[in-house]
Amino acid sequence: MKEKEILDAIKKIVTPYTQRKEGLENFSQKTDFIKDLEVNSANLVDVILDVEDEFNIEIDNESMEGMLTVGDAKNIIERKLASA
Amino acid sequence: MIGNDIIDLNLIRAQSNWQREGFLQKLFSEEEQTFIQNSEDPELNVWLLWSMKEAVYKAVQRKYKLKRFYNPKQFVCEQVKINPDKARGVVCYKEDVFVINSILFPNMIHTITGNTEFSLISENKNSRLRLLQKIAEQRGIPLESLNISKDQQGVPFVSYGGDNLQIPFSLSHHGNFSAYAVSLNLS
Repeated sequence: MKEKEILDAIKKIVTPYTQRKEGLENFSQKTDFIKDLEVNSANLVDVILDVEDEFNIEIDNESMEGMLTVGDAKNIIERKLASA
Repeated sequence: MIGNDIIDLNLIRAQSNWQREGFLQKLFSEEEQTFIQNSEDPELNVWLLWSMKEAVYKAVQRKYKLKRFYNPKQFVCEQVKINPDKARGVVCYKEDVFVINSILFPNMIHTITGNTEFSLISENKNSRLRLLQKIAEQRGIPLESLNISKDQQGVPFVSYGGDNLQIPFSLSHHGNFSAYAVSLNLS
């Protein structure tokens, strides 16, 4: 799967949980779910569950621990897809 | 180290579906899930235990100057006792054990770590001013000289005429509510 496809999918997943919609305008790998998009910390679980469903992968606690930015999420997805 | 967390229950109901498949499993241990499912009010307990984990996350992040991380299961809630309007319990994080206290309102939960000397809850976003008023009163210094500034890492501190008073405090806001927890004894 191409990087751009993964990033587009992450953007689509995170949009409904984004409280700061301006944050979506310059969406990049540096975008921070909590700081830039103001995703509620309880909703980060929904982002993770949606990512699991979308890519048919399982995100373990250790991977989840470092999932703070879009780039973190993309790296985890790529790693899980490669090992699937 | 202090930590606190506030949850606007009306907002969290709109934001989160805790009954979603997989949701509780990502946040809570088997024991915590059993406690929640067997309780009289599972929804309240989901958010009570979540606020406990969040408050202690803030405390350990401050204590050990940790980078931000997201691992709710590292925070283990135990001995949770609920009364009609308050709750107590402990949260373990690695070797640390934190006593926590929560106040339960019909529309809000506020949780603080045990070493908090006072906390303020505000509905109209003026808790910043109320915090400064309380410190001015406690220390006998004029309110006009007090301010909340941020250091280079973006961590807020209370300043008096520009100097850092080194008063640890923790801020939380959610929906219509904001809260401060403060420790005046510098611990």
